[in-house]
Amino acid sequence: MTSETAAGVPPINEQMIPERVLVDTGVMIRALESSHWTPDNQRGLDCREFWEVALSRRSRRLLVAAPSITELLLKPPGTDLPRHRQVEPVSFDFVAAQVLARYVPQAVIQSKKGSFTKDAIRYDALIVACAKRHNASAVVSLDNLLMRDLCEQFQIAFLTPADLRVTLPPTGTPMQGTLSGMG
Amino acid sequence: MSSSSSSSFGVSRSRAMCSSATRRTSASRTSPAGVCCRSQQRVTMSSPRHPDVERSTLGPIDRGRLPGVAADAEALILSFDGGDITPTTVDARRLLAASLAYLDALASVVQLIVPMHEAELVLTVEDIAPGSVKYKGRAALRRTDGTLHPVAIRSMSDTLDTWMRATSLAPRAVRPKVSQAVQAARQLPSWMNFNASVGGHEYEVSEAARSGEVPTIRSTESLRARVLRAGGIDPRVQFDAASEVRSFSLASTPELVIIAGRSLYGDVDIEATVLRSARAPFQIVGGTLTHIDPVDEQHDPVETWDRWYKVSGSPWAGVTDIEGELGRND
Repeated sequence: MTSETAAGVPPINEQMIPERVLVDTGVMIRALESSHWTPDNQRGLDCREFWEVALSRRSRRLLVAAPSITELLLKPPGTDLPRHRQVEPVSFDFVAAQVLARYVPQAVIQSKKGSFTKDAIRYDALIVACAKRHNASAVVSLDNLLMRDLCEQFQIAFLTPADLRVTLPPTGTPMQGTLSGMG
Repeated sequence: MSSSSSSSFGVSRSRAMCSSATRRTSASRTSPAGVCCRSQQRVTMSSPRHPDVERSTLGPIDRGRLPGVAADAEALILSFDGGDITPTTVDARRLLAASLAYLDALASVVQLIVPMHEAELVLTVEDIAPGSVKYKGRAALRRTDGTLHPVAIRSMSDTLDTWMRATSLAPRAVRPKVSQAVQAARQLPSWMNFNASVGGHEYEVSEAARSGEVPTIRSTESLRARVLRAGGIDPRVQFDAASEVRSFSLASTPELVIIAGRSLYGDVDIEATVLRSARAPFQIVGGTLTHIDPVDEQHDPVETWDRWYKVSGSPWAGVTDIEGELGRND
């Protein structure tokens, strides 16, 4: 692994990452930009570690929404994005538009206008609609209230890279409290 | 009823469809549905083939090999339910006609997608269950050397389901069979549901037949998909995609078929003009492949993206407030 986690912070648990998960723009940029992988920038370290651990399983697919690709390329131009089997660009298409209309009607977007900028609502809604339309099990984003709220609207799991720093009990260890009162 | 007329799913031996058959019979019995059948009966039905091909490459099905094929094949169940259906109140001929028309159509889709010299569709009956109108069997694409062809019958059933919902989109070679399947399913009483289960996937055949011509929407799309099949006299490429509810087949040019063939069972990025059902779940019912790009399956994805980011000049270097730069701060 390129980055180092702070002492006492459990590593990202690979088993906690869904097989098909959409990565939000902020996570993707931090995963690629090495200046964020410093000991005083835990979010940057989280994103990089998530990216490496998630891609360590060949069957896993990380989805990147078309609006995120636009955001990623907002800065001065790069070359064409790599086409790799495990990183799947997903489009905002006719079906995604139908999904967006179904799960987040205009009334919901209007109700959030006071709290968030219109652009933020639009971009985040487009990204979560892409996740839903392309059958992602979860959206991995940073602790963003609007994104969390939208994921709830779309009935799709919301995760931050830090949420995945979980130590599971060893296999076969009974979960606390589950056996009481049985038999 | 003679053993000949009790062939699987009511197939007549005089039909071209039923080119070879193997039976293992014991005591005859009459099912409650009035269908004479034989327990432990095994009957095979192959897809239509050219007579010359049949003689030169496809011999009669070997009795000894059939159980092995059946064991590895995809489960196939045709069932009818709904309303107050009981085995004594239904006309077995209608059910068999609908079943046969469905299987005929499936066989014609198989022949369209898998060249006839590569494999034949083999259907066996394992059981005609008493007490219900349910035909259980197996379906497989078996090569001439006896091994199974990797293309799943289920994916063919996906295509048939699509075309039963929009027969005008079916290629001309299979449209008559698909239309017959639709008509036969429509002849069933309106309260009856005709369902097929192929390889564990459920298909609402009567619902598909009654849905009429589904309105479609044409759109140009890009999609990550896996190549299942590429080729045919009318060049087509069959894909599945995690984003789609069913596998789908697109018309193509020979050049794109060749590119797709190099990525068989691998992922590709495609651009296509697709026709989607205008009703949820908006499945792809047809379309034309316009572009295809292979994707990297060999290199480490982290290194690949790191290299791209560096070559691109690390565009986000020095930006500390990323969300602010994106205009996405809460």
